[in-house]
Amino acid sequence: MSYLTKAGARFRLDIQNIPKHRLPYFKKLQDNTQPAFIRPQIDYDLHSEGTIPTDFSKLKYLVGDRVIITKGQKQGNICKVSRHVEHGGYVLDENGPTSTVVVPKEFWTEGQKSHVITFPKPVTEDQIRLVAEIEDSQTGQLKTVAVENLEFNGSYFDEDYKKVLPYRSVHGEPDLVIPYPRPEAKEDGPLSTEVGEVRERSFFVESIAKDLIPQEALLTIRNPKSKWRRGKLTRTEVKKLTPPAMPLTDVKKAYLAELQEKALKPTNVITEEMKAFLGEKIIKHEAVKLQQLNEIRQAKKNLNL
Amino acid sequence: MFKRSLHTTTKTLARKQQVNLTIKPPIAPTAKNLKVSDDHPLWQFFHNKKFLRKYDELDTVGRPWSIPELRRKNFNDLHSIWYACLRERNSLAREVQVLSAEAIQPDRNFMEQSDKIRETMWRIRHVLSERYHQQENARVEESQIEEFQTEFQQYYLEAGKEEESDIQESLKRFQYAIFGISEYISENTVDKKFISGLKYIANLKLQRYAPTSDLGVVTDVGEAFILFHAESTEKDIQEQIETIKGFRSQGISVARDEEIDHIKAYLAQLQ
Repeated sequence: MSYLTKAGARFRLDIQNIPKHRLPYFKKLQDNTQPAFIRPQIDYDLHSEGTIPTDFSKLKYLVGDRVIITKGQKQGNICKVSRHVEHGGYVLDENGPTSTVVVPKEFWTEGQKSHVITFPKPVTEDQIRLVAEIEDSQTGQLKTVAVENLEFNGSYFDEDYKKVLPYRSVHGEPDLVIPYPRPEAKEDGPLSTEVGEVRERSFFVESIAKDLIPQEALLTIRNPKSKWRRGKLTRTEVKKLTPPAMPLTDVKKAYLAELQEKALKPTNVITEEMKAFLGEKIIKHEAVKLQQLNEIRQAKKNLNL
Repeated sequence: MFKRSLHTTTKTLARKQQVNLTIKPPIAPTAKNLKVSDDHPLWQFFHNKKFLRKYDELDTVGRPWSIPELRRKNFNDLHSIWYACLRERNSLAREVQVLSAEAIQPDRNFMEQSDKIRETMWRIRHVLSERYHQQENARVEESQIEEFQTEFQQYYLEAGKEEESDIQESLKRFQYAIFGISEYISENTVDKKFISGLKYIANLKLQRYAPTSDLGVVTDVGEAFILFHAESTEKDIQEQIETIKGFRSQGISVARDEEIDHIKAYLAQLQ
């Protein structure tokens, strides 16, 4: 039952961790080992995550949107987006591009009568443009246009999608908002819970003395002897966490000894001779300064200031 | 000499018994011939007693419970959700096991369902862990608890007579919040905290309804229980003070090490 636990997931072959220069090998492996009817229909980067984004601004076109095909054999056809596929693909309706493949009998679906089947081929974002109806500012009539690019800004709560969504507008013109298509109503699944029941609050903190989790259940939720809670390191852990001391060379040892010796020496030793020299200098300096001061005083007196 | 043929056991076993055997058609080894009772515990691993569900019978529209949603639910609710999830995951695991006979990889649709449920389950554990840490942190802050206690004491003692019903309600909330003393006897567990709560509240009542009494600070748990249990009126408290004085004159008191047992016995009597 190893598939029920995710404990070993990090040791599994993960294409995301394979360096880029090894990717062509995996690409080739995929093409050689998978038959055409299983192989992904769109070219994609193996490193990209590929999941269908839940963020609407990254999806750009939603299921139910009308789009025009701008590249490929079916160029010019207007279709509806019928679903999203992984790695940024959009599956369109019967007017969209299709691919024909041979399927072995083991993989036939119900009602299939031939080995050769045709099914819709997904297109990428750059192969389609959104078709929207916009009011003409001059005539006031509605006209159908293809939108070169879209931008998403602001946000509002959409009742049908039950989500906070950004406004979708024509790129460069934030006032020209193109509303999202309305989603198909979904029925609740067998495991769904009523909204009222989910939102009903039954947890209130009323006492500091009463346990929030019953003592009998606590051991199944928290490990009281967890090593993360212990708060101190064991001798083995200290040993593992302490880096080994680098062995010193003889030169380095001598240098360090010299530094230590220097540090021990008193730094400000003033001999009598030095004191006499400094004293003489100070007296000379003071005499000059005194003379200058006297000169200034004399000058002031002369000017009667 | 020992003779096997003359041994009594041999003779008894060798006695001819009348056997009335009739030949019946063989029972075919099919599932139809197996009878399983409706309350067999292994049915818990089946969804509506189905061997294998079809893909469209799986819940593809639902999403896992979010953490903010789970934070609103009390322990019993969370336990119920956990149990429902566990049962569903068990039946999914069995179905995946059944399908694994034909495929190398576990079935994707069933596994997606299982993973969604697993997400709810770890979120339940996360929410409970949060609560555990909150509680641990709150209990460390003793100075705040003391501050709160003095604040309440001031409010309780200084409140006027017109606020009587309000202070009774807040006393109930206070005793449950700090000491875990519930007004429903069956909900209470008698421990050290409970005892200290009894004493604290008895002294509070004494200070409010009989500030001039010469009883002093009540430290005996028996006396504290009498005051705690008394009605919050001056008359009733005065009567209980007389009772306590009577006990004191007779030398009746509860030893420190017997306090918990004593109160447990009292509560059992009240129930």
